[in-house]
Amino acid sequence: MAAYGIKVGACNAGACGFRCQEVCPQGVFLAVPKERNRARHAADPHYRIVPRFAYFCDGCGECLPVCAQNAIRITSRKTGGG
Amino acid sequence: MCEFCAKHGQGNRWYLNPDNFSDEMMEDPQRVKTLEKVAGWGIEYYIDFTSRVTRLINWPVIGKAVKAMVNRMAPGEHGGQVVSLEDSMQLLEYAKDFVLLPCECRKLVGHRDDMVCLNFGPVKEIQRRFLPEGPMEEISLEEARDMVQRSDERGHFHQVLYAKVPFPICICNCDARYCTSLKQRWANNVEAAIFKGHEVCAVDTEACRFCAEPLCMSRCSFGALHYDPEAGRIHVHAGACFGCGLCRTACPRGALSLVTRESVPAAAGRW
Repeated sequence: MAAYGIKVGACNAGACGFRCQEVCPQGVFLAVPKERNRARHAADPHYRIVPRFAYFCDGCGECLPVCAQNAIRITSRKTGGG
Repeated sequence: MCEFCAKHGQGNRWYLNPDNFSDEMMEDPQRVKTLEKVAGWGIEYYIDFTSRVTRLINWPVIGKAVKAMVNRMAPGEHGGQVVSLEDSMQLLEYAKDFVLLPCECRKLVGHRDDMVCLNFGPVKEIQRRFLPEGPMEEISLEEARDMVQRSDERGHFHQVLYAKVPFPICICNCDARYCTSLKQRWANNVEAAIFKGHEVCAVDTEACRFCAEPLCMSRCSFGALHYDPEAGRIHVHAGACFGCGLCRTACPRGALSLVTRESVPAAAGRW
């Protein structure tokens, strides 16, 4: 399992310009459409950020200072054994 | 030989069989349904949906059942297999109606707008129908070849996407940092998200001298090349190799080559 957990709270993606996605070296954050049943040809779907690929987080912390809402939290997970 | 080739290859690899590119393939109602689902939902919804489902594989009780279901269903839907540069060049000969679309993985994971997704066949017509004002660039066969070649030099590996096996619709020029199929395979251990290629890398231990700046290691997206301290050479971890062949072009001594997956016991039968 991944060594780090990552949480995204109150995210106003788009307003800040998806800075966390740009700086993340592992590509942890996925932009998913806000409205789930919206048809494809809707001109501008609104996205929110979810840490869908948190498995790859290596805890570098690059995303923390760039988040305008301070919405990202990184937690360390206990990895058994060792 | 992989099961797709045994079924649909007619003695060749499934994506190199010209019959699989014909318009008659669109007569299969399930294939049309799959294509319309991906285009109609929008790829952002499709990636969201599949990554939600594959995440369930890590759950304690239902995980095994979900994994079996995903691996069984994916070849009937949408997925990919890694191909080498030579195979993608040959594949382009059989295809027609090339269009460049923005890579949705790079867009949704990295917020980048790169027109690198090389689609062909029915995609042009489907894209016009579902997203008429979206970005799309029509290109010729020469431009398509040139594009694949340039991505290879830049260090992007290729995968051929199918809409229900064995109908190829796209050659991806993937970046491992953003590729959502690769992420689903690695994080959730689901093979059907992206199958490994038909070849694996082999190192000629006589020729390899382990240079000061081993470019082959930095070009490997899959972490399959290691330093072997005993021999002072590069060692290929065949179980991790996807067979993209990017490392070959970087070697100044030509020590790396691709051999068929069956000839390497550690990789044989592992797709």
